[in-house]
Amino acid sequence: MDFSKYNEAVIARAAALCSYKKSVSLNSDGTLNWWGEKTHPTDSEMNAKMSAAQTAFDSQADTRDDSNGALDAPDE
Amino acid sequence: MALSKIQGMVDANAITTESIADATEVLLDATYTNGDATVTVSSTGSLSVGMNIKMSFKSKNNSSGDIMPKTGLKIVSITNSTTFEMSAAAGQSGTNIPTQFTTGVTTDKLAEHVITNTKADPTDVQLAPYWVNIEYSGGGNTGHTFITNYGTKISASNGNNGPSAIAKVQGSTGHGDFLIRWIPGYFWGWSGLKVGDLAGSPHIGQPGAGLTQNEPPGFIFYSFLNNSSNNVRYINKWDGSSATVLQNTSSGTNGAEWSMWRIGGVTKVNDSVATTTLQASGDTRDYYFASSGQGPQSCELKEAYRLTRGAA
Repeated sequence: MDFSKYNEAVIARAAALCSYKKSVSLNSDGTLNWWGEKTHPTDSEMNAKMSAAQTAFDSQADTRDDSNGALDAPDE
Repeated sequence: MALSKIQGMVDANAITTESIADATEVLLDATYTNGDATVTVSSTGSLSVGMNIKMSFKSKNNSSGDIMPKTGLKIVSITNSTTFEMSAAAGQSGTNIPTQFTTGVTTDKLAEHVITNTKADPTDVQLAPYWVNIEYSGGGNTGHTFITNYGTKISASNGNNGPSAIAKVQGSTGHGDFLIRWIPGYFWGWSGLKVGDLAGSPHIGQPGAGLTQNEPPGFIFYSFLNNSSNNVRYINKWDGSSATVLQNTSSGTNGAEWSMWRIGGVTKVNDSVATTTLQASGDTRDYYFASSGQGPQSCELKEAYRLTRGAA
């Protein structure tokens, strides 16, 4: 599944909503890089959380001067 | 098929190394007169028509105007034993101006920025423990501070996959022995070094070329990474066509030094716990190093240098 339309910070938020706390990033082909972990959310589980993740990202970004919507961003 | 097109043969019309005159360089103090193309030196015996003329480092060019243009100036004729004519008149007067005269492949024959890392003077591309060529990632911008500790540490602490940056370690390893030591961060994102073969990315770091080329076809690429979320020490090797995880071991390191070195063609990496041999013999690749860009992350360089072969 191609996740390249999403900001990687939104993808990290979606993984967290799936209760996955480890690192995740985007490969150049738009697939998700789980960095060798055998147990991780499926593409469909991630896809199901993308909307909520994007909303959470946008909501946080709107309240900050630096527009940073990343999960666990330190206070400004 | 023309002989010149047969693979492995020298093109019959090509300029061979033998045909290129050896470069010569003459340094003389010269006297210039404003608006005059005539120049006086102590002796024109070592000069010849066509020589490129440049100011030497003790330049007397100033804000009121240059004695000579910085490019394209040549000797057009030798008048006598102490004077010659330039291709343009002097823009200022000056006495005993240190001047460089060159033949062969002169500066004027090279386009700007055509000298890549592997073609440069080795002393200019020495491996050194500080970050250069920073590029933003994940929305990083000038409002963030990514480089600290006098240029030796790159870090980003702006949330998971948040604003970050990558940078390149100054210089490259050259083809001989080297050592680089660093402390990867221990955060959610991957911290550490990515290592590429300059032969596969000769323009790395130059404008438009980026700082890394992950998994370049036909060329080695290593990743030495560490984090707290996966809590592993992760070493990955791309052999030019496929990737192999050489190590994915718990636990990650928090504050420990990692190192990579090559002695006599044997290349190894140590993650502070164990040593992995990357190549057992014959490694002569000219490696460059770049940081991971996934925030939050950090990588502090402790030392990095080339070694004289056999020094260790």
